[in-house]
Amino acid sequence: MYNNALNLLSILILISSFNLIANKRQKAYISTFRVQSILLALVSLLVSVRSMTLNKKFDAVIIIFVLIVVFKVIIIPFVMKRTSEKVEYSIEKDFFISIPISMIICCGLVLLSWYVIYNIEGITNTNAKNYLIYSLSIIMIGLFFMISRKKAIGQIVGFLVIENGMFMAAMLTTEGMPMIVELGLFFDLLTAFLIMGIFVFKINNTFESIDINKLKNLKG
Amino acid sequence: MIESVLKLIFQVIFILLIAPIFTGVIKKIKAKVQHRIGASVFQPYYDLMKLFKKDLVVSSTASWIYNLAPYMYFVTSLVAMSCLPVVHQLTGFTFFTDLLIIVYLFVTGRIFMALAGLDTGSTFGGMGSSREMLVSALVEPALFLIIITVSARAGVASTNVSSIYEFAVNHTETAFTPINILLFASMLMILIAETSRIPVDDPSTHLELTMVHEAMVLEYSGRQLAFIELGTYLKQLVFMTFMANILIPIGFNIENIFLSLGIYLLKILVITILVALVELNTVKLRLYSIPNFAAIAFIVSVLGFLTCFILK
Amino acid sequence: MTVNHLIIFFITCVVLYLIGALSSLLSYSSPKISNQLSNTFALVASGLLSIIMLYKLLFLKDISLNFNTNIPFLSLDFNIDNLSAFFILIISIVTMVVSLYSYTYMSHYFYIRNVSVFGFFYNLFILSMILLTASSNLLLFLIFWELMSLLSYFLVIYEHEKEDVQKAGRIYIIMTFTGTAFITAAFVLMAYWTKSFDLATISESAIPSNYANIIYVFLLLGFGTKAGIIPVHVWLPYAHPVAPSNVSALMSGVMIKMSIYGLLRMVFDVLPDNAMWWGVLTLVIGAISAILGIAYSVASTINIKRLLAYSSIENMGIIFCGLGITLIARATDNTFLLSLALTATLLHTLNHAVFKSLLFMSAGAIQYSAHTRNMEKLGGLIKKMPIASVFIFVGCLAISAVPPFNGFISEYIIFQTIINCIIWFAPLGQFSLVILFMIVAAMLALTGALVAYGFVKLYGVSFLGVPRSADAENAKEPKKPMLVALGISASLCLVLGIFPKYIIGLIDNVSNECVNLKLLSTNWSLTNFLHYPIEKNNLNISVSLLTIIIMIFVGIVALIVMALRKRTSVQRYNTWDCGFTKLNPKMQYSATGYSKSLRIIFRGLFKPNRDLVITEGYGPYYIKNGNYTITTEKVIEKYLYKPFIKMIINFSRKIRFKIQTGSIHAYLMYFFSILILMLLYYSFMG
Repeated sequence: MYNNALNLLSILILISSFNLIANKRQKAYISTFRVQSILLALVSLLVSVRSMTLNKKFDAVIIIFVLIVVFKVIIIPFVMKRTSEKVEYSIEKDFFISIPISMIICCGLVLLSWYVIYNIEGITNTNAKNYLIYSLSIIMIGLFFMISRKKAIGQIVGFLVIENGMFMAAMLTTEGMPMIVELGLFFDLLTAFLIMGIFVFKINNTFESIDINKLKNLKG
Repeated sequence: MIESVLKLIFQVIFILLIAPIFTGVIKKIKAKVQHRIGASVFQPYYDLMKLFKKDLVVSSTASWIYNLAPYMYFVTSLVAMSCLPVVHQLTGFTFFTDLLIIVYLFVTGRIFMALAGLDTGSTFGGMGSSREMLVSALVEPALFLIIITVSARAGVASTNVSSIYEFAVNHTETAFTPINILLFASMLMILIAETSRIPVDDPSTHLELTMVHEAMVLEYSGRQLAFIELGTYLKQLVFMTFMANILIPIGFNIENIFLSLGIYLLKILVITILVALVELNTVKLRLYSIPNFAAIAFIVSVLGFLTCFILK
Repeated sequence: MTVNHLIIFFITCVVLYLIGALSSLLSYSSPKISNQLSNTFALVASGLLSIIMLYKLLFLKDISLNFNTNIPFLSLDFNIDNLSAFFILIISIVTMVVSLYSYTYMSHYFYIRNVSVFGFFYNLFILSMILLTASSNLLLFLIFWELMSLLSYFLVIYEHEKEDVQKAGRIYIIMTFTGTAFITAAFVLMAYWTKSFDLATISESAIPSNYANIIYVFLLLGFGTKAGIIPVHVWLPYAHPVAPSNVSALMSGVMIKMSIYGLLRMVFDVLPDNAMWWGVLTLVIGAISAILGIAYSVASTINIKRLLAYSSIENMGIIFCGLGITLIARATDNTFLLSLALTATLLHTLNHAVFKSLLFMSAGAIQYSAHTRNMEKLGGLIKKMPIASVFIFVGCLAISAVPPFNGFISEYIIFQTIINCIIWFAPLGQFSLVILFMIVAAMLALTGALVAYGFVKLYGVSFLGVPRSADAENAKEPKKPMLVALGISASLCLVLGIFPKYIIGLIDNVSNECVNLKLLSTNWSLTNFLHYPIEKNNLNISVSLLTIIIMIFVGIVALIVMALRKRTSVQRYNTWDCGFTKLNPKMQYSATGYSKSLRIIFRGLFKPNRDLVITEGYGPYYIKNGNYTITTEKVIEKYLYKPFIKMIINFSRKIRFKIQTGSIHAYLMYFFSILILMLLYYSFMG
């Protein structure tokens, strides 16, 4: 029951990242990311509640749940939305590779990660194997998303999706890593997000557009 | 213990008494060969007596280093000389009779003299001190190689004079082997360089372009000069004694002390004559030719080393 | 005292340094208080630490501390065995004196620069060195090594607005990180084969010999960079002169010794068998560093601290020679020789730390009172600062290996080691080694003589004669704390020189741990001042008795002079001026002139260039104006570093347009494709 639920959630997260690839508008990225974060929060809630009911003591993963809800579901999407509204906003094609081809490439990525994880000897738990396959695919899809989008918002979202994938891998395979590591990851994420946010404004100020292809002009 | 202390005291007095005469002998030989009558062989003694009685003139810029230097130079030479036994082993004093200590004592004396040369603020002093440090630095490798050869040959893994003497006394047959002759030749060149003799330096000139040692001590007068002179005589005797007792180990440590003493003096006299002959037959080298001279000394000592350990 | 007491005291010292750092930072509003706080805490902590380490070395108790962390591979393990304790002893003695010295020295920065930040970095720098020596985990070692490098960099660029300081700092940080890269590579290789970062549990002999060779070469390059071994020495002559003098005293006295500690630690703990050529390589580069270092020191410097920096290269060269002989002896299983060479290495490390810190502090004292480090502007300081000049004189004598000061005894033992090697290898028929030792001995002999040359130049030109500038004319004796610090250092030089037996006794405990052999017999009677370690008792020298003999002779001469003095008079008169008008300070021999003959003899090393520009007046003999400039080239930098740097720049220029396109997508693509390729490689090949 528990494992089934987790399996379901992780597949949903994977599907949400496919959905992300299929998105054409910048605004849609953000809401997809929000959905993905909610799913991730549910995963962490499930993990923590189960461990609390089993061990009858407080589990630190619940803090992670709160953090995810506060930051990834509420604050980051909100700030990002404001950012994308403040900077140049126009509806135009935002990708290099057409959506169907992207989807096929992403399927290839999932296959690759399945192959890689499947070949690792020593993972006896089949569930853990599955979770690893999902999260590795999410990470690679996030990276691919960063490559395939022109506008800076796309890069930020891609980065956040990579982060989500890592969180998921950490949570599902270890049932909650040491608190210090989780917090370290979270801190990293926030800093990176802040820096990127500032950069988006700077890029917009300099080029009057957030198309990062224009950064080529900076080269001396 | 008392006996060895007495021996040491006797040796110190003895070397102080005989040290100046060899300079006199060199001068006399040179004079004879040049068909001059020359001063008496005891002239250095007369000079010293005179200098001891004279008043001092000290430069007004000089500091305490200038006043201390002659005495330090003399004391280091004297201690170095008492490291080397003249006719008998100094049994109780092996704790400081070491060849490396002798070398470093000379370094000490030289540092003091070179500083004194700079202390008066005179150009000559600086020039002499710079050149003196250079010349002695250049012959240092050869000197160390000789020391290493004689001490490693003794096989006791120590530069201690007593073990080297022991080896020398038990191996009198080494006296005229190629090793000893090579080392002797190298040591003779070092002696010439260290005691400021022709062809490295001219002790009798006072021309600024050629002066090395004399330029450094130019400001000194009276008893300070006397101590410097005496120190130089002692330094010369150290090298000669090394050559006589270690490189020609004949007649050393004989029961009859007077016979032993006689043989020692004879050997020193022979070396003195050699030095005089070298002085007579060469001319003073340019300062920048001295590296070549030092290189020859070094090569000769390397040959000695190789003959001793490798070519056998 | 039990082990627990020692541990508590050690932690107290660490905390004291931390308090010193923080309190200095907190009291930034008043530089005076901040300076006093930082130095007082450093002084107390170092004093306490030196007592603990002395106690530990005498009574042999291992101090170990463990803190567990959750971070994999990195456990906070500290273990102070005898080798660490010996090096911590060196650190604490030097820092104790330097902290005392800083009370006065830092006062000329008050209200000009931020003294409180200096105190913060100063305390942390000392602490990083102590913890580096105490750590028994490779990663921890690396972390403190980096910290030490970084903090020393901050201290070097203290006067950061000056152009030359920035340049020195840049070169220093590039070189030091290059060195650290090599050390890291070596550590990673070690951990790969031994499966552990923990020095205590690293399984010996697990490393295959060809990998051990690579590891050693990396270690030599990495630690050699910190030690300033030629040809990776380039940072040292830049960084030492521009740093504040108390920092250069610490850097030259202690920090560069950490590389010796690192090498010894890795060689004895991780690399159980070594090839002969390791030792030969170390010996050769040591000898070359010694002779080139001192040649540069004498002939191409007029800046006192630069002279001292080059002389540090020379001394590190001598220490590396000792290390090389240690390794050669280890490869041939001659334990006596091994122990002797190790003793020589450690003794010279200690001695160099003491006299070099004294000399750098002296350079600081000169700058403090005469406001210049340029020897051509000094002169006659012996009359302006009479007490300080005596202490500095002692430092110069000690480094020139004059008996009975401490430099003598370590050079003596190094020469004895070489002689022992020749005796050992000649009957075995290893003639190439015998010839090598011969050449090294000759090089070290020349080095020794040139050291005397260089320090006569330093002392003679800056302290004797007539002042060459108004600054030197107005120099004053420095304040008490500085004098006391110089005095303590100078008396340490003397004490370590006169009683080497007790120091060698301490070192024996160290080498006993590494080699399992003691040089000294356990007979510690006072009548037996022997120190030279051979079985035959009548073949020992004793510096203490030698000192007594010299004192007796000096006494006799003094009596004679007293007697003569009554009969003669002393007249003060001007220096002889060839009958011309009075001599002026410019007529004195200058620092450049003093070493000119050496420059000409070794012209291949320096490529000296002279330039004489004469403005003629009424004719060729009436010269209005003459301008003589002399330049020397930094041959190693020119022929080794410049082409290399040029190559890298050309290469970067070329690839800049091909790989670095400026498009973020391309960069992301690199990540992505490499990730995919690695995964593919892993799943299909692995």
